[in-house]
Amino acid sequence: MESIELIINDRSHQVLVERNWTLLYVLREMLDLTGTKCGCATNDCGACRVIVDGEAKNSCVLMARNMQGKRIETIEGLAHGIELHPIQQAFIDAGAVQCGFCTPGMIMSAKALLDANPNPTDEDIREAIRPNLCRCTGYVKIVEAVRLAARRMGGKASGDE
Amino acid sequence: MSDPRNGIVGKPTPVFDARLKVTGQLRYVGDMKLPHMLYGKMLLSTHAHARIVSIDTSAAETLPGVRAVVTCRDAPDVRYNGNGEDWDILESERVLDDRVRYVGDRVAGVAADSEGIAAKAVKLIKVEYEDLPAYFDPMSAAAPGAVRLHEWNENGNVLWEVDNSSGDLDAGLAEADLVLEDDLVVPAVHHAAMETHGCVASFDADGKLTVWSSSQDVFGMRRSLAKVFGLPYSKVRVIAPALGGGFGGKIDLTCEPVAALLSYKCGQPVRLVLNRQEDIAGGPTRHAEKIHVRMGFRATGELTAIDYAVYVAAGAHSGGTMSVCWAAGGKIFKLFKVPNLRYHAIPVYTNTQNAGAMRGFGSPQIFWAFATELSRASRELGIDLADLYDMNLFDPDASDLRGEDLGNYRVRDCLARARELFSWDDEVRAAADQRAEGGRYRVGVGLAVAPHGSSMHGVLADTCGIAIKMNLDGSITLFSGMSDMGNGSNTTQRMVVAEELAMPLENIALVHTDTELTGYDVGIFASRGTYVGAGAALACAREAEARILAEGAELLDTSAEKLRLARNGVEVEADPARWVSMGEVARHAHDAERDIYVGGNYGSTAVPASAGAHMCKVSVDTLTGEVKPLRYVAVHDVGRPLNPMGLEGQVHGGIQMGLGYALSEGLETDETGRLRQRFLRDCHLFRATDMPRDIEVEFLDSEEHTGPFGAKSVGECGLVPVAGAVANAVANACGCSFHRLPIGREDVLCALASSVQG
Repeated sequence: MESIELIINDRSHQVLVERNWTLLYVLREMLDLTGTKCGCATNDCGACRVIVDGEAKNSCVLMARNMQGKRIETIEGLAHGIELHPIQQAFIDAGAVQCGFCTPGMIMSAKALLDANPNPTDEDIREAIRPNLCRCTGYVKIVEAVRLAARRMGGKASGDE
Repeated sequence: MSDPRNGIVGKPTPVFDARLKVTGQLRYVGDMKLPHMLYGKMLLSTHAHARIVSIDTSAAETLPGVRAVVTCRDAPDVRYNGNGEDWDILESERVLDDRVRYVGDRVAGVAADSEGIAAKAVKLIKVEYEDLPAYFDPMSAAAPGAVRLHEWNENGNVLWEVDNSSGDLDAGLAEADLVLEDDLVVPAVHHAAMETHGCVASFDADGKLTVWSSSQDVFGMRRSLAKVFGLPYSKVRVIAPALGGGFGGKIDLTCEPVAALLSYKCGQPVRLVLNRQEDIAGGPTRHAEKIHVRMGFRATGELTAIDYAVYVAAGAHSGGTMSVCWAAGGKIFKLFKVPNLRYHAIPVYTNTQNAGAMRGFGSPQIFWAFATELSRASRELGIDLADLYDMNLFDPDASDLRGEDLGNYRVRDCLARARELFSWDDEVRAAADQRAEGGRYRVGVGLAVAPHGSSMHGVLADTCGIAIKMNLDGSITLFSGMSDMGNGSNTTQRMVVAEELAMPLENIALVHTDTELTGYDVGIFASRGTYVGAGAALACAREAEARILAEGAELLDTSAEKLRLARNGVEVEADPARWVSMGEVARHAHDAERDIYVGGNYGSTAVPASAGAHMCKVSVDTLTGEVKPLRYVAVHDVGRPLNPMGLEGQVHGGIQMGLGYALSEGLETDETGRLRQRFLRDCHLFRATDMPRDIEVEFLDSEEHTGPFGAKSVGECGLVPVAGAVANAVANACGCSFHRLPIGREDVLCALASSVQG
């Protein structure tokens, strides 16, 4: 066991971790941050995506002990009470949510994209959510949702013309 | 049929729990933690067919932190069929057996203080196997002399053959100017719901078993768990808190009985969630099939006969296989007005994963086969494919060859509208011109049409339990026995109740799928969510409405016939200024000691057919064999669209799943019976970057007279035609036919090579 400091959604957590524990395991099992989902644990589906120092990554293949001092954002950090982040609201309004299991990871991919590029093209959006599998939506309304969020957040979302 | 009251029906409406889903707050079973909860893990078989000679669990049991280990020695000696619909036939499965029948079959279970300890313990279990001959395809399993997977089966490895014939097949084929005949092959498919199978099971001190499961069929699971553990239903409670997708894969019991057995043994709750490798190897699949099809056509294109014989790989246990064979044998009659049709299904036990329900329930195979043959006939007869389909499709209000009423079935209108939207005739020409240029990329277009049912009326008592309880402020709690796997069934139920009661959606709290709190429901499958589920909710809302109007009549001092529900209250139809709120109604009823609380089990009265016509354009790279879907159009007859947002989403998802079925998915076993697809990446699901960029989905403005607000179904129909449309587009590009799915790069290159030679 090793004691590390994780900065998650701007809060510091001191946790004891085993060498082989993934960030996903620590989030879900140690910190009860179960909004981040596990769909495969093998870096294939993106359900566990979080943002690490501004970059969307699959937390199932990140070792917790390597996360010391990094800024980690999870789905729990986006809303304030009933006030949703514009991306979350756009996912609802565009009908991008069905079973919801891929949704947190999708939203984190979308957030990392829009944080870095407020005016993404449709191809940028598709590329950003390429690591995220969805079995319900055919991605159609998810792409629409990200485009809608971009527009509402002040970007132009050029793919929308 | 009711008229809409407040415009909720027909309005795009997000799923009812969308806010919890986008914030990560919705608790799926894998997110649950109970006090003293343990973590379960199963040992899965590495042998395809073997007797277990011995199991040594001593090392596992003495590992610190291990609380229970279970094997066939602990399992009740009860055989069950884990499918809710077929629960009382061909009962061959045991919680843990002394024989394994596929690589991935359950051997043992462990419950421990942590996932890590449970995983370590499973590795310490030593199993000695005595191998038996194993059969991975239905033909070899059905061969005379094959070792039986189940000793009691007098038919060798064949389950029950299904023979549905109408008309005179031989005469029909004799009349034909063109008879096409093909052997076709389709693989098993992993459902790949993003949430794997999982549950939490807890036996309490009262001997009561509570199971939280990601289940499409909580009442079916209760029935089977009660049987396995010898309990009355009052001692088994199954709850589906949330489902991260289902697609048919979460109907049957999988890990639930093992978790329950572990909890029984150690007296603590056990959470058992399969990891993805276990889910692929141990979970259910779509049926792999070998199809022999013959179709007779007149020179003018009319079908004279269809002969469809299929070997169905059931996997190790029957599960829902018989229902799939029976249902497919009904749906095969519902597309073409062909006068002679024979359907013969031979389901066979195989040493592969338990095959069962998966979106389409036997239909995607059939309507891909039909699409393949029609596209061949179109080439050979020189008749446009859309024309060829059109002349053979049913008209509205027809009955099929077996006398089943199809309802206001607008399949021809779907095709006509798709043809217009896709500009089919122009696209066919443009593709031919493009190919004539002889470049590296060849464009092809294809289409397929398919029907689907909307309920199981006539097959079984297709009811859905609904109750409405009015609170003292006039808001209500809606109790629904129906699961929602993300498909929107509960959302639509809430919408029709809000519509009928002229009440805002947010005034309707929802309690769903809990065998103890909600009324019996058949389960969320058979595309019955809207037609049966929303139909039941509407029927219950009407009972509530009658009670509300009676109270309103007293309050407004008039008779109920003069009143109607409006603006979350009751108004006098001729004088809308005279209005009382729903809250006043509720308090009035309460003060008179007759609170409004209605409910029951509501059935359906018909099985209307819904329909979809799909068209697809692809580009084929003649150097690499890569197929790129470029454009997709789908037009559906769903009756009246209740929730356009949900409907579009269902069809979009069907297109993703169908593209995979046509081009990239499919499970294969190696010579030892192990799946070549170990990880999710090996399953090759379509990603956002693989999808066509141009997808258009439309719904006819139709109406099914027997459905809630005129609606029928969509869920499965959105998938069923896809493989046919896509395969035909690839065939069109390559100038040939494909006889197996998926159509991979090698198949394309091979087809191109032979068409050049030919």
